[in-house]
Amino acid sequence: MVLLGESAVGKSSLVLRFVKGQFHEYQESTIGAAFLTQTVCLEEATVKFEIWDTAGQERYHSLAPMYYRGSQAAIVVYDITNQESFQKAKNWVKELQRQASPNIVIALAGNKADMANKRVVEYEEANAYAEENALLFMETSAKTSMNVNDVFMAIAKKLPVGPTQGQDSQGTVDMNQPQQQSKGSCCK
Amino acid sequence: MEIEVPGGSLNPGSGESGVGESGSEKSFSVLQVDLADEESERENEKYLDEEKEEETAEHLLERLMQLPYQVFILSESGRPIFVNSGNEEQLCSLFAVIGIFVERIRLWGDNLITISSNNKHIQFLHKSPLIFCIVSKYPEKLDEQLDVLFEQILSILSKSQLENVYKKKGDNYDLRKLLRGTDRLIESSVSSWRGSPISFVDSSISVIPMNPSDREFLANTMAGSLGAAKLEGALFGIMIAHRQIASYVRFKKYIMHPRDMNIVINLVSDKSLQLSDASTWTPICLPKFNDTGFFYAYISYPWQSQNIPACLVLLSVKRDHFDGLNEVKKSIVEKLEGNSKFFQNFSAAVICPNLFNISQIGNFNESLWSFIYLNHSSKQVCISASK
Amino acid sequence: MSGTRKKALLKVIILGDSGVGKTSLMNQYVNRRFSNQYKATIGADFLTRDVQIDDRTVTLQIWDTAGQERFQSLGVAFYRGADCCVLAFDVTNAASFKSLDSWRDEFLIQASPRDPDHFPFVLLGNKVDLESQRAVSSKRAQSWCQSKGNIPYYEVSAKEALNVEAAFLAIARDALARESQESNDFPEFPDQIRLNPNQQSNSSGSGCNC
Repeated sequence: MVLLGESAVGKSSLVLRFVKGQFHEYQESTIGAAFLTQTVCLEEATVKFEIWDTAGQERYHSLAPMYYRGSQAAIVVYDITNQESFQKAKNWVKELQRQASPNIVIALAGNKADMANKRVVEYEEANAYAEENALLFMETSAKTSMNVNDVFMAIAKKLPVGPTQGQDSQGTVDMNQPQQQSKGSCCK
Repeated sequence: MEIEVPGGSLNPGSGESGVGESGSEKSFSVLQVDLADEESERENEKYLDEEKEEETAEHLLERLMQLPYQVFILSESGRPIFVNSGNEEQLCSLFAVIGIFVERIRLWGDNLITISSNNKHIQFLHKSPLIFCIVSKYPEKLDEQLDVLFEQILSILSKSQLENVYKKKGDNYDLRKLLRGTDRLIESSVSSWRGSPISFVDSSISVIPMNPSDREFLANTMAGSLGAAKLEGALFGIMIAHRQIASYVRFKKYIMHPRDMNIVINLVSDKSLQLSDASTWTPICLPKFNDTGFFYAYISYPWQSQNIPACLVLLSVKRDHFDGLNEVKKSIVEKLEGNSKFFQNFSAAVICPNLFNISQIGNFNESLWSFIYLNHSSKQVCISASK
Repeated sequence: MSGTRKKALLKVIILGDSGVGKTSLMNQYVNRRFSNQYKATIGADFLTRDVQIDDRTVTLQIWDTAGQERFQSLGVAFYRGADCCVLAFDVTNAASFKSLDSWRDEFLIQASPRDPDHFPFVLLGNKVDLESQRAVSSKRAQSWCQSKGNIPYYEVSAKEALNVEAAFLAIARDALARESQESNDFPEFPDQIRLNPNQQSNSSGSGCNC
């Protein structure tokens, strides 16, 4: 899966919170794109996320297809305190709809929900947009961890259960068959 | 040349308090030919009540004067792009002055290179569409520092993108948009140069001390794994720690210029890349190799969680090589960890590097204090601890 | 977080005959000036001023010319890359008004903006406090402005700082609006590097792992 969105909306923070349970107030700009994996044990299955955390700066924009082509899922992130980032998020959604795999699962995440007093993008507006475009939608806060796991899990649930897709591992969400999972063995 | 604290930052608490001379105004006057402009002088007197803000501007300049160096990057039309003290907006008049100096000399059919006084040395580099300028306490190798700065910009944008963006968007384009997030990289390209042994020798790279047999094992392992992967276009593999090379392997017939190597070192040394359990895939232009196109760098700190700050970098011209290089890294890591004696030595060498020692070149009399060794063909330089 | 947006920065050129009072207008307006002594040697002063436009702070990098003939050839780099241009004349001096055409023309020639017909100009008519000595009427100035694509006109005086501010705000706003209209097309990455094994014929020997 791939995270897309304008610079400084909190993509890396969301990933850091999800993968390590950490948050840094001053998160450095991502260079290029970071690739991380996270495996989560659920009751019924194991989910392995292979995550591309992309840099949001303009100069990297035309590289994005390299990361989203072949991805089964994308989280498009915007900052609820920044109107431009929401516009940019819509552009990303359009681009994904045109150029990514037709079955790609897209989630829209309105991050920095903890900064409610500086909000400029209303929940309803984003929610309506998400519904129109068949996107998952949640407001998140990497800082408080609100909805962070939820958004990743929602994506996992929406993807078809099945065996791994072989070596083409770019961005796959890999869900094992339940019977292959020995209960009680949880992976770190 | 004095080894100085990499300087240039005006951040409070950075320790850059008034080291050095006062009387900064006098030094700055060197730039002005003192023709009195009566009208202006009279106007100046009228606005003494603006003293407070005026003071801030002058004060800012004074503080800059105290620092060992300042670097400026601007467009040919005098628009500010970068200053290492980080407040290019406040200093935009100064940028305009730099631009105009360069332009004025150019109109004479000449090329402005340097302005010097006893206490300050100013060097200029005009590489269309940009102008680079360094103001330094010390005059040595200012030209190389500006070249390093220019090549750092090229490594982010490539020459083609840099030139095209002005052609496409106009001379008033604000290049800072394309350089967003790279201030640290640009700053460290010069500050790390100034604090490193590589400053003693033009276009050199610095090597971390290791046992020859360990280094050989490391190199063979890297070369072996890269070779076995048969990734056409994957040209270089480098192991880096503390801005020094532990090992460097290359595909036959392709050579990395030391200045390109230092660009790679500067990139991977950025804190944001020192991730544990994650790897980075990013474009990087290596100007001496090819200034119009990009390599793609696979960057990983495989043992970051064990506090072993070694970085493995694999470079390819093909942007779809990530998966292949990811496997190469796994193979290299497995083999290195599998040789416990090597790994122990390697970890020690990286965690706490031993400096080269004068005893390593023999027993000389008391007068030998330190040595610098340069390998001419590889341009690798080693500097010993002083006695 | 690092990498956050920098303040917008606009290059503003001020043109007009010497003696129209540009210096006193600028001195009143700017909050930071490094020196007023460059004019005699280089032919221009460089000033900085921050303005607030909506919720954005914009820094104006102001290039104020001496306006004397011998400095008219300031070089292309002086004019290039400007976001907007302020033309100034003295309402008590008709000659300074007549010069405006050549100042504007010279600017457009030297700067070669991409859209010369819509380049943001603003006209300042200075010294309106000397009403009794007025030689150029408001109407005359305004019709000149209209004939040049509806350039905004502001009557100012060194004593009435307010209008100077309004003029700069207007021109900055205009220039900013242009900026955000720019299409969002992003730089294309160059094609893959073509490798030519023969190009790397430097010193170093055979494929050594050094």
